[in-house]
Amino acid sequence: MHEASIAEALLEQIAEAALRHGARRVVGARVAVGALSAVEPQALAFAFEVMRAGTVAAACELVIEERPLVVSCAACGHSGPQDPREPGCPRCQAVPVSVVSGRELCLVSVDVEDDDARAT
Amino acid sequence: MLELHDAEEIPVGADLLATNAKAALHNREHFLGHGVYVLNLMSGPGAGKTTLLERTLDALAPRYRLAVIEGDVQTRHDADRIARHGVPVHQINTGGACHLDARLVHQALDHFELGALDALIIENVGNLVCPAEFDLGEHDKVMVLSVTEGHDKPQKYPVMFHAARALLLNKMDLLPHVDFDVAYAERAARALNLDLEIFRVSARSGEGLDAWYRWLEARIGKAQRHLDH
Ligand SMILES: Nc1nc2c(ncn2[C@@H]2O[C@H](COP(=O)(O)OP(=O)(O)O)[C@@H](O)[C@H]2O)c(=O)[nH]1
Ligand SMILES: [Mg+2]
Ligand SMILES: [Zn+2]
Repeated sequence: MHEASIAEALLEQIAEAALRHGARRVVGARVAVGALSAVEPQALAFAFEVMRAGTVAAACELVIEERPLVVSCAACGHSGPQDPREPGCPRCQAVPVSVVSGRELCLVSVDVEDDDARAT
Repeated sequence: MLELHDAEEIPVGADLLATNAKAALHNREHFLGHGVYVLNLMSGPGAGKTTLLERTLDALAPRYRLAVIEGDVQTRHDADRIARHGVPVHQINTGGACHLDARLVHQALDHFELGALDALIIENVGNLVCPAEFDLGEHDKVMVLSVTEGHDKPQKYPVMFHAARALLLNKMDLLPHVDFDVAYAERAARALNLDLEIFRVSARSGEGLDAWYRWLEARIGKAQRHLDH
C-alpha cells in the first residue's frame, strides 16, 4: 500500500498551508478520498498518526471524507452513484460511463491556530 | 488562566498527488526534449513483466536503441536478466516502496544518455494497486495480467485498468490448465477503458507477441514523429 507516500504528501501540504497563513499549529485537517483513489482510509489515518510527530501537525486531528463514485452515462443520460466494482451504467448497463467524481485525493481544508491567537 | 486558541478553518484544495505530478511533468520534458518514447510496464507480482521485456528487447533491439529501468523488487535479478540482452539497464532501489514515483525515475535518468535512445522501458514494482496512482512522465502505461491471476481482476483493481493504454493477457499457454474466462476479463477491462488495446500473448511460447511488437513500434514511431515537428 502506498498510504505512507500519501501521508507524506499530506504532511507536506499541511506544512505549506500553515506557513502561508503564519500558523503555529495545525489542529485539524480534512481530506477527501474518492472511491477510485485506491487509498484505504484506515491505512492513511494510521500512516498519518505515525508520521505527524515533530511536525506542525503533531496534534492534528485528521478527518477523512470518503467520496463515492459518481458516474454519468452518455447513452441514457443517467447520472448517479455507482459501485466501483461494477462496470457500466447502473440504469441501462451501457459502457463506458464517465466518472463525474470519485477519483479525488486532496487536502480540502486545515484548521490552524494563528501565532497571535489569544484567549479572550 | 487557560489559554484558548480559536482554530480557524482555511480552505486548501491541494491535490495530494501534486508533488509527484510536478516531478512527472519534469521527467516528461526530458523525454520529449530527447525524443525518447517511455513505457511504464505494470502488473501484479509474477505476471511476466521481465520475461515479456526480455522477448521484446530481443525483437526490437536490431531496429531501436533501447534501455530499461528496473523497479521490480520481487526478483532481485531482473536487472541481470535484462543486462544479458545487451541493453543498458539501471536498477532502482525503491527502499521497499510498493511503487515507483517520478522522483525515483528522475534520479535514475542520470544513468542514461537519453539523446542516444529511441525508447526507455520502465518495469514497475509488482503491485496491482499503487503504481497506477503515480505518473512517471511516461507516454504509455501498459499492464500485464496473466491467466493464472483470475478474470475478476479488472473489477477488483479498476484504477490500473483505467490508466493503461494497452493490456497484455500473458501466459496464454497455460489457459487449458486454469479457470480463466478470457472473454469475461476482456469485457470487464474494456468496460473500464473503452480504448484499451488488448493482446493475448505468451512470453513462454511467443504466441501473440508479433501484434504487440507492431503496436509498440507504432507508439515509438509516433513519439519520434512528434519530435520532428
Ligand atoms: N507458462 C508461462 N510462464 C511464464 C510466462 N511468462 C512468464 N512466465 C513465468 O512466470 C514467472 C514470473 O515471470 P517474471 O517475468 O519474472 O514476472 P514479473 O515478476 O512480472 O517480472 C517466471 O517463472 C516466468 O518464467 C508465460 O507466458 N507462460
Ligand atoms: Mg520482474
Ligand atoms: Zn445509461
